[in-house]
Amino acid sequence: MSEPISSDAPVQDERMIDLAISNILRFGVIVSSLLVVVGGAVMLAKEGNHPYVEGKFDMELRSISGILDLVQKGNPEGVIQLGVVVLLATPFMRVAFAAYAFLQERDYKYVVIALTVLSGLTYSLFYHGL
Amino acid sequence: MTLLAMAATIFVGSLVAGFLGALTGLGGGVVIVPLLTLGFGVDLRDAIGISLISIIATSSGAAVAFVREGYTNVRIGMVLEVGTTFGAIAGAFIAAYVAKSFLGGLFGAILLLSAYLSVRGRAQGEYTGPSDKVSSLLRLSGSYPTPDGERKYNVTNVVPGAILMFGAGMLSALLGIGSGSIKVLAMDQVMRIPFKVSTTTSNFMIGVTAAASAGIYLNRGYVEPALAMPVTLGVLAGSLVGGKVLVGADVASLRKLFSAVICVIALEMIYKSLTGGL
Repeated sequence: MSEPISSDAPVQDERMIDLAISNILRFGVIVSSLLVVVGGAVMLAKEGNHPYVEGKFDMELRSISGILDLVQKGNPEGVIQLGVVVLLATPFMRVAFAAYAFLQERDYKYVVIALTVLSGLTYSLFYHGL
Repeated sequence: MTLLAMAATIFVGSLVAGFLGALTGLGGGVVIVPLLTLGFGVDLRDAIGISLISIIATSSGAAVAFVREGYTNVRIGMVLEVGTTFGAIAGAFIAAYVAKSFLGGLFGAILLLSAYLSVRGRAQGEYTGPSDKVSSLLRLSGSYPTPDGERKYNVTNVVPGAILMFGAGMLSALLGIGSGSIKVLAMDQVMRIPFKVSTTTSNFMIGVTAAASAGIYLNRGYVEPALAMPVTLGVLAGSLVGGKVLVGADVASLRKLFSAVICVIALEMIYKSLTGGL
């Protein structure tokens, strides 16, 4: 009928990897949310009564280096945007960890697959175009 | 409108969107773009950028539990993410050269398709056949928990599935959606992966897919912090609550109701695109 379904990878290790991946995702979402809440609260406290105008924001909010500059100056929009970058980096960290874990398991096919995905994410995260 | 009033109303709208999205399995992303464009007059490209960010939050938040419980197949996710990631990068570039009216019309069409896929019954039974060559090579077979213990499964049609994933990634980047219904379609119907594994692995992949294009949107200036703040927090909170309520709710009728709402939104998006209102 059907061929036996085999999983020759050590099951214990796979579960550890799952748990670690789950923790990375949780950590990323919590840190990001905290930054967005803090930045948002300060922004609303300072400018909450100003009329909202779309598209009027700092060019520095478009790159990671610009965002870090704004955060150092205490700019609340910069802090929100840092939260956004942490969120963007969460899947990146998850894939980077997977590549490392597959390397530990000497599962080289999957190291290549994970690094391929990671190259795409790196390109997007550090994209400087237009 | 003041910044505070704007943030508060968008937060409430996003909260409802995230709640219903998690409850029905359609994801909050499909309503964030219409909410911002039709409801608040936000530019379509800004709305897409913001929506992508909120999708990463909800996908990652929900994946925490699914991965932990052992439903998600991390290997299948990783292999198919090659397709979605590069599809998303291609989509983000095409998006720059496509007219807003076309994007809006396409958005409406994909919304209609998603609504149809979510209410349609699933006739196909469990796949008991062998793994195909690629699946054996990559050891994609897995198991997932059921009330009667772990149940094992094989996977087939990996290459057609990965090609569909490229398309799903492209649509995700073009429209700011998770493309969850298309990802599930490819895994459940084409690769014959069990439904529960398909939906949780699809959700797992959505974060990576969205991140692959969201960085490009951020760099182009389409992620405005004043909008990103209420949307991400609202959708995330709504989806966390929705995921908890899921157990015990009358999901079938809710799904029908939400699908009907989505059809109305889809027609409105198409109408606005045709009349140049977006």
